[in-house]
Amino acid sequence: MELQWPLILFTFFMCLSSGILFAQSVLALKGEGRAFQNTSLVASFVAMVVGGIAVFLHLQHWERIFNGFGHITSGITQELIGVVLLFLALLVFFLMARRSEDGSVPAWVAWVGIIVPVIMVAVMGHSYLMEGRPSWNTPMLIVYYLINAALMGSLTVLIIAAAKKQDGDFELLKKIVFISAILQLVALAVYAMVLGASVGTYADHGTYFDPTLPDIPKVEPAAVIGSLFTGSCALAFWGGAIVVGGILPICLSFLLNKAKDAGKTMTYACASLVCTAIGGLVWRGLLYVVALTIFAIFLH
Amino acid sequence: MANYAIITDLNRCTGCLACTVACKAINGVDVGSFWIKTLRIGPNPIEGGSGQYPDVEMYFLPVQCQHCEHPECVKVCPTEASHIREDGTIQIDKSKCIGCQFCVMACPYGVRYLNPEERVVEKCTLCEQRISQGDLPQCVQQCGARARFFGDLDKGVDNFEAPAHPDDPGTQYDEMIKTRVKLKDYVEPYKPTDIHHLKNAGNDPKLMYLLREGRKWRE
Ligand code: SF4
Ligand code: SF4
Repeated sequence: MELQWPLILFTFFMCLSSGILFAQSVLALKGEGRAFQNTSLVASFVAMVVGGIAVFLHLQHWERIFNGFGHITSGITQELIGVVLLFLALLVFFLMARRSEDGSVPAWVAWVGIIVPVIMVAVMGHSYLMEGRPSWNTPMLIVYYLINAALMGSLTVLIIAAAKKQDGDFELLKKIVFISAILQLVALAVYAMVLGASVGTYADHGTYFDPTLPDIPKVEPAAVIGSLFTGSCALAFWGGAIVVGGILPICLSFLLNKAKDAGKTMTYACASLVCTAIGGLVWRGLLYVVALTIFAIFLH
Repeated sequence: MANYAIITDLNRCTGCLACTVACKAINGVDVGSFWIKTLRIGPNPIEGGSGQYPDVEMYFLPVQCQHCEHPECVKVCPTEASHIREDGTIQIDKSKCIGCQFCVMACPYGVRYLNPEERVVEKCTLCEQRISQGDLPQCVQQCGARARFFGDLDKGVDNFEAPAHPDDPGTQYDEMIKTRVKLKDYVEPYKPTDIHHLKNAGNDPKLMYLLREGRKWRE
């Protein structure tokens, strides 16, 4: 399938938005990060708005959403509910922090800020699980989004902390970054193996011919998926998703864990976030390249 | 009310593309878009053969929306623009469609597409405008090999109907299309195991393909 940039950007920015609230709420649970929590909440909100605008660009007739949007079995409806919940979680965090004199929030607010982003990201991943598209129809999609969100969110919160010259050690957040960076690479590897193993699930017609597309070569699922590893997409996969998006964030997160001052934290966290973002966008794009339907030979 | 579907006898289909063309003409399907395509499957080596001509076989496969029992397109549609009609067909209410194209992604057969002018999704309607008047879908009516039969699954596939070819040399077109023959009475004998469906991805496609023993159904 062609790359659907609005959807790629939506999932990217929703992971970022959810991850930031998640990371800030983890800090809140430990009573840390109050000096910059509002900046984090704003950052999360901005990412949500950017993601929302991106997804609206995908709709051809968004004005018709008032004609009866809301069929509950639809992933889009579920995502919308998730976005509303995420917004409410942000709002509650903001209001509760304002109400207290020291900017602290009750533990339940922090827990809401941890759980709601997880639900949001899981629901978002779930909406792409379609039996007709084996490359997407795997829980690894949800697992990948969750880890990616935790990593990008924690890095962003560390960057905000460093920008506000908060020298605190934020041990826990740095650990989350390091562990998620490792898990992300593992998830990518497992997902790639799942893709490789899915080749046999497509309808196999042997030789076929579509008289309406005489100049289009035969669609071979094994070749399309194989192109990730050894073909035309290999550079994007190995270079973009694995090295830049998977391995470099681990190395940089390792250095980040050693960083003692805000300056170094800033440098490593920024570098790691940029790499994760590049890798995340590349991987999301590649998932469209390999998103064939089980009956892949009726093309428009 | 009913549960309409089509069965195509692949031992009869000659790949003449009449269904493909007739559909475009009656439904105004744009150049470059198709509600039904006639694909050629093969030539593929016959099992146990030499692997070379003449040990090969092939068939033609007219593919359109399969009007599934559990349509994924309906499940993922946020506006219920895609819906199951009382007659069992899957339809799109274009005035409700927001063009999110999730149905396009969810359909296992790639038969939906975004109409770039109207910016809504479309696909085969099983000629809703015709079948609601008691007529046959145009692809069934115009089938060049009398391989396609339309009917109500609740009444059994044996009773699916097509217009008969005129025995009488003088029969005019208008008269001919009013005649009806039943699948069971018209085509060569078949067994229940000769009836196939496109690969199922939990959507339970309803359209059927008849390919008798001796020729391998490929999915
Ligand atoms: S074939 Fe595709 S478009 Fe038609 S009902 Fe089934 S899932 Fe929907
Ligand atoms: S494109 Fe239209 S018919 Fe398809 S899922 Fe979206 S709203 Fe429903």
